[in-house]
Amino acid sequence: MKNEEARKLLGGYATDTLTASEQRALFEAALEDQELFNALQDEQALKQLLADPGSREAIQRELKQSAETRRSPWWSSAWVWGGVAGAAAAAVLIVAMIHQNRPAARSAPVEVASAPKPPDLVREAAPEAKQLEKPPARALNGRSRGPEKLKPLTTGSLAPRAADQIAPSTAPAPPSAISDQPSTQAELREPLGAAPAAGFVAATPTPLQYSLERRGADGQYSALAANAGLIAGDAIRIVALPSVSGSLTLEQLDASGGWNRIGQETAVVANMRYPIPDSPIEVRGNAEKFRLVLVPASPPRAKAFARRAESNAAASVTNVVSPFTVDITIEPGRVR
Amino acid sequence: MGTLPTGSVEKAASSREEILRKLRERIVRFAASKIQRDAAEDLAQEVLIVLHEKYRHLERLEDLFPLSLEIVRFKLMAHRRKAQRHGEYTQIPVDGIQVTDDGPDPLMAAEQSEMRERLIAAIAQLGDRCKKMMALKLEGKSFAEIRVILGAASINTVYTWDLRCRKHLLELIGGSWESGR
Repeated sequence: MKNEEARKLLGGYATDTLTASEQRALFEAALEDQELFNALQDEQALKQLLADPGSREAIQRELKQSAETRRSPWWSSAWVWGGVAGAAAAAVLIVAMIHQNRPAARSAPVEVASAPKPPDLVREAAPEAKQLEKPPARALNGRSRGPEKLKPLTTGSLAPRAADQIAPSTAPAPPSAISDQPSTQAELREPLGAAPAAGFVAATPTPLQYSLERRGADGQYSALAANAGLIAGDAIRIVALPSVSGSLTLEQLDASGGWNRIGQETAVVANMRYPIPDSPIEVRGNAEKFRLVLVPASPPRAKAFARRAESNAAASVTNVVSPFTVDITIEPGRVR
Repeated sequence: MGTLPTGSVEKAASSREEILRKLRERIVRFAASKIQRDAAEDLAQEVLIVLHEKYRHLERLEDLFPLSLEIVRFKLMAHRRKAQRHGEYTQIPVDGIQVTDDGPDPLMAAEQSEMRERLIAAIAQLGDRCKKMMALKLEGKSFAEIRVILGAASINTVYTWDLRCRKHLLELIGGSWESGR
């Protein structure tokens, strides 16, 4: 076999596709041809990768998925068309229902306004009614059909009682009572491991969770019950559950606005419970702010990369490791 | 393995010597394209020492050739690591040097993982025929079997298809299977 022909066998080397005779032909050619030898030497990296069963399987999986996608193009699948048709039908139905319901909802004032009222009352109510009953443009284009019919409704015969009826739907809802009852503590008593636990920034995944424990008369700590409120004089501690290893500290906000560390920095292992601080926190009459700070240990892979990279890469590795904080406010009756 | 007649033994030995001589020449030239010439000579020598001391029983080209490619690759990687470790620009304090563990080399594992991702991404961009060929090759099919499955007129057609596919894949991956080489 000529060298040019043997070169065509190159692609079969890494995948072990070659027969014994093909292999021999390729090697013999490579012994005489430096370029072919270099190409084979470069191919060795691919061969080694494909010799790894995990890598080989991953590539085969990718090829299989690709083949399946190819076999059934998205537009040829009956279920796709069925789905599209279903979605279109649903969309039409929803639009139709919205159009049907919207004018009906707005028609309530029409009935109220049509009630016969004494002319003097109507005059008094007119400015208020204008303000309250100003329908949006879309409603005007709905069933009411045109300004000539709307005119008597908004300026003609709207009674004060009608305004009362409209008010709840147009005025902003009254502010809900913000409770500082112990019920807020129910959030706190999520079991450890549930995400996110109370005290965490909403919708932000955090690797640090905590619960509270209160010291009993016998000196033993027990988890704060869901319906139990804190009272001044209670001795409590925080039980932290980090999901990454690193170092953990507890800080307290002082009167000057600075954070002071309480106790020692603790080296923590992921998914272990760490009661902190060593001596309990006494609940006082006023609100006290605490902060849990978790500095994750640098990931081993980042270290591996840092070892082979230049010095500037080492700086970027340190950027990867940023501390996580959780603020906790403790006061009688509630914990935030 | 049966005992070879004296003449055959001599012939086999001379054949082995000839293979190793040619291998050395190729290895030196290949390595010299990657590292300094004197280091390339040393590297080739080290490869031959390994072949001589650990694989003395291997005589056939089909055994010696792929083995030498593998040893060259490992030696080159070790050379690069050593050069980086000893280099002035990467000097680190003794305290910073980590103790070698028995587990898989994290650097090699990371490189292999990176290469796998690049390869998968590149394969996804290949044409249908190339993907099919690659899948068949990974299934362990020979070129003759692939010819039948793909309905090619001759095996040379399959060789040509495969060569083109390999070339395209190599281009998609950036010209080299390994990044930064």
